[in-house]
Amino acid sequence: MNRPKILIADDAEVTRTIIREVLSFLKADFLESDTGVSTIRTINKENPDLVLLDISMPAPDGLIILKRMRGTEEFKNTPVIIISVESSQECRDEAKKYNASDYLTKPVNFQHLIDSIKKALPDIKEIPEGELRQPRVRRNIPKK
Amino acid sequence: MEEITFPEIETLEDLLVNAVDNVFSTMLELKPVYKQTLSAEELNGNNSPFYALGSKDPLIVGSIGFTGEANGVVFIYIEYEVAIEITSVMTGMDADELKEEMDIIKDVIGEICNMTIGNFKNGICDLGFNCRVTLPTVLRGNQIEVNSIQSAERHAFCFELFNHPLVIDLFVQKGGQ
Repeated sequence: MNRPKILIADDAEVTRTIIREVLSFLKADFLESDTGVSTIRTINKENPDLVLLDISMPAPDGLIILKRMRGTEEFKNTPVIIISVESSQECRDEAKKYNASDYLTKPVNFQHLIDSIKKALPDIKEIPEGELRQPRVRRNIPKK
Repeated sequence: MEEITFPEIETLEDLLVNAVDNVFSTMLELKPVYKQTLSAEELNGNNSPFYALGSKDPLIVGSIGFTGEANGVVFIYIEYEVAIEITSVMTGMDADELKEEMDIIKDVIGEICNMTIGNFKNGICDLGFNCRVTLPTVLRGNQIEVNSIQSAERHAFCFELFNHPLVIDLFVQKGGQ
């Protein structure tokens, strides 16, 4: 896997942008979607190697998408990390039942997110420090 | 089965102050200062605790609901200029550049509301009242006031950020009431 595709599915553009900036040191191609429908479309079209999935999005919500993915041969093993404000046991149990790789509650601890991505995609590479561009978002970028 | 008592105001206050602290410090490296909580009686029929604290228009109001074993709606009031500052900190864009970028401001304030009230709501869930948040709505306007919901408890939590008020107006009741 040279450059894995990571889909960031969240209805808030600012959250997608911040996650993308935080992960910009990773050699990966980032895709974005902002509704349940566009997330399903992007998964079908792009076959991402990892999905960072919000739960509360314009329908269908993230847990329904996860359940649908697990019901298909193509996406039954695609790693999915849930990133949501929802932390109820009901949602966590549902995510676990459908084999989510991790469940992170917003506001996300970015080091935890990076560790979780590296666990889901153990072959992912980092961009050498000298080639990194200056991030637009100045805050919340963890020190490597 | 023993009925669980709905949380007292002191518990709600702790949950909300912790939620604000957690979200603003993690996402913005800011710390709004908690000042006071006003009850419905103390508001004395005033539909806007925000204006009562001397704030000026235009303002931004984020609203978000939660439903389940606890039902409620929360309105977060800030002045437009403060919303621009928050958006600037979160996106790295210049405040001047943001003045006409209402979509970006709405997106940022909506997500801050979502995280803050989501954190608060998760605390209520942990006390045994399972509920889920709705999608946030953000409005910009002048003279925005919200009428009390008669059957709900109302508390206005007053904070200060950049020396301006930030008010979180909570209407809450136990589910099934």
